Amino acid sequence: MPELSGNVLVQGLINGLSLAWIYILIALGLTLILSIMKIMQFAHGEVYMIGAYVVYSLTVINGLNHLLAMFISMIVVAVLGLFLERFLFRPLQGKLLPCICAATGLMLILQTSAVLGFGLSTKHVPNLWLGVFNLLDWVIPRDRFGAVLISLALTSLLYLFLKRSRYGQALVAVAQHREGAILQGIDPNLMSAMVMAIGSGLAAVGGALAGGIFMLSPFMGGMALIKGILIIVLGGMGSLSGVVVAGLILGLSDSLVPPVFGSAVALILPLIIIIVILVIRPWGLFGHE
Amino acid sequence: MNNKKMVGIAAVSVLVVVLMMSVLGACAPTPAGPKTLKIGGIGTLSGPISEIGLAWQRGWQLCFDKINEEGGLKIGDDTYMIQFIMEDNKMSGEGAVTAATKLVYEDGVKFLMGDPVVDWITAPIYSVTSKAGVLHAISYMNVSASTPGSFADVGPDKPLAIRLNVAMDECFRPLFEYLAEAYPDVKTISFTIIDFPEYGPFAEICTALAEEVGLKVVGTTERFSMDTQDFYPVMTPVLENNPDAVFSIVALVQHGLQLKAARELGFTGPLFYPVPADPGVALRIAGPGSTDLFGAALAIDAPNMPAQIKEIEERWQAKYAEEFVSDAVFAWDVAWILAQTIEKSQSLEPQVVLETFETLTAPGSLQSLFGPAHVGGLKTNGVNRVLVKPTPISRLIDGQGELAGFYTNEIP
Repeated sequence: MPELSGNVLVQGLINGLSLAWIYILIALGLTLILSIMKIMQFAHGEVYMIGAYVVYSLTVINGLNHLLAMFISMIVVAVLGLFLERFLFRPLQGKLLPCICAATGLMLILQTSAVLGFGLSTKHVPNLWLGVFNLLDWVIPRDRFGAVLISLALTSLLYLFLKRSRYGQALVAVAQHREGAILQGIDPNLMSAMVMAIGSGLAAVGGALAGGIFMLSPFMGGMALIKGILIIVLGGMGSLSGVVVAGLILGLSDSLVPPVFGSAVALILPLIIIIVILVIRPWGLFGHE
Repeated sequence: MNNKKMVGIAAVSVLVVVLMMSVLGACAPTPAGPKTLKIGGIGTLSGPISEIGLAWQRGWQLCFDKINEEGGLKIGDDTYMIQFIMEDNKMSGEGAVTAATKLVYEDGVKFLMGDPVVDWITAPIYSVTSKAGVLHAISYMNVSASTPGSFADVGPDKPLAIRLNVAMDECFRPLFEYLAEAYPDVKTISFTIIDFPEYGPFAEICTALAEEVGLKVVGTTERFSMDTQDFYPVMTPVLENNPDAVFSIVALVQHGLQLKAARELGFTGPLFYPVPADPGVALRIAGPGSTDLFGAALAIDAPNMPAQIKEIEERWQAKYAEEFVSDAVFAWDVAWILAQTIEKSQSLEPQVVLETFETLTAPGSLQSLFGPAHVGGLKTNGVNRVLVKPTPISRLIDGQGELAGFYTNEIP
């Protein structure tokens, strides 16, 4: 086994944290949608991709400030989420197969739209903050550090919203017992619209952050969706704490495994970890039996 | 003679003259219109690497457009306009077989170019073309016969295949020589290599080349997957050994991501790569001041780019009005070499064209966009069926792309 030096370990941890928080943003939306609407939004990765392209067009083509562009992208994609909920997913609610078909079709439509709108060539969103800073001799890239801060802030806001606000509590109620919540006067359609907007907005920010650190491509959503699904399966369906912990496990594994075991092992090791955990706890780390 | 008789004789005379003229006219050769020569191309037009496939399709098409504008191919007394037909391999060997079968048996092409990206798609194309007597003009190769384990390159076992491009591994030597020439202070080097199984021997080959130019290899070779976008985990252990330079065998635009990670981790030396990816693309990823990145590629924005290559970019803009991808230049060159070979053979028979190609071994027998070219490979491949042409090397210096030059390549 190759040696894992202190520097490689620390850089891996720093890198893993930034990756983890981008994954967490994607998975939070996915788990909210799954909990409230009972659908697997297979086009969630493409929503994340659209968020990145909105930021690209606002910053690179229109010269807007990056943070402002990210905020606008979050709003635009949240509105897209509302539209999708109202005209695509709401009519199909409770119908498993049509929902899967619609989400898969939507995935292809959004990919093709991105190809038509922006071409096939890979793009790059300008870095949120270029360069690095040193902390105790460790190199910390500003863009990754910024990604962690933004993701952390949004996750905290979501947590506060769910725990402290009336609408947040209503969402939790629908997730826990849909019929009971309806009997209490909670409008399930309003809740569905709300989670689609929140989930899509979070995915848009995730896409914008990833687009600055990596690259944009119409096909970037595929891997994001896989990571998102892995996280919610590992963390436990509908659990926010589970998403955060599973996201951290996956992010750190993606950054620490390649230098030690190589990239081939890095592709399969997270899956092995997930299988082992699921064998021991089939409902995930924080899910309920 | 009465008038009636006179009119009768005149009418018969006119009729005879008209008939004679018609008969003579019918016997005279009429100028024949141009005929059509169908040439096929296979590349990846869908999925994540379709950007490259599309650039190759356009490069091939633009070259044939120009040939047609200039009157087409002259074969004997006939003139042929080239009809180019492209098919998508869907990034799979199976897709390549389907595409080749369609081009060969439905469209009736006799010359087929492809694949421009990966060897394991190139190999299945030959399985179709060889049976149909079609000439397979291999457009790009990653692992040539000079590397152990090569499976797709031309050789005596592939009697109807020629290679019209310098392979990726054949660019290693010019790149190492350029490194030694342009960066004389570099004394140590590390490698990062994509983890394709056929790239296994590259670490050893690169070590030998590095030693030849007086460099010491430090650390172990780091490997990464084709999908890797996050190069922190790759570059961190590489830079632990403080190399003066890093040679990276990457895919697509991974050079920009590697450069970004390396610079952010404090590496200031040159980073270089052997694939034809424009170093200018790295500017978008690694920042506007990126420097000391070079590759076996064309920095298309370089002020010293030859006019012939600039013309391809202009034609692209005029026809497609989209951002230019420099891979199109390499595609154009392949199409141009194929057209030259067909014209030199004065035949449309694949076997005759191949035999002609094998004879073009004198330097300058063919003309490439990068300089005089010829055919070689007898010692390495066992047959003279590999195009030998100069390798372009471009680099980024303080955010500006420049063409370092065209470097001689030898394929014995």
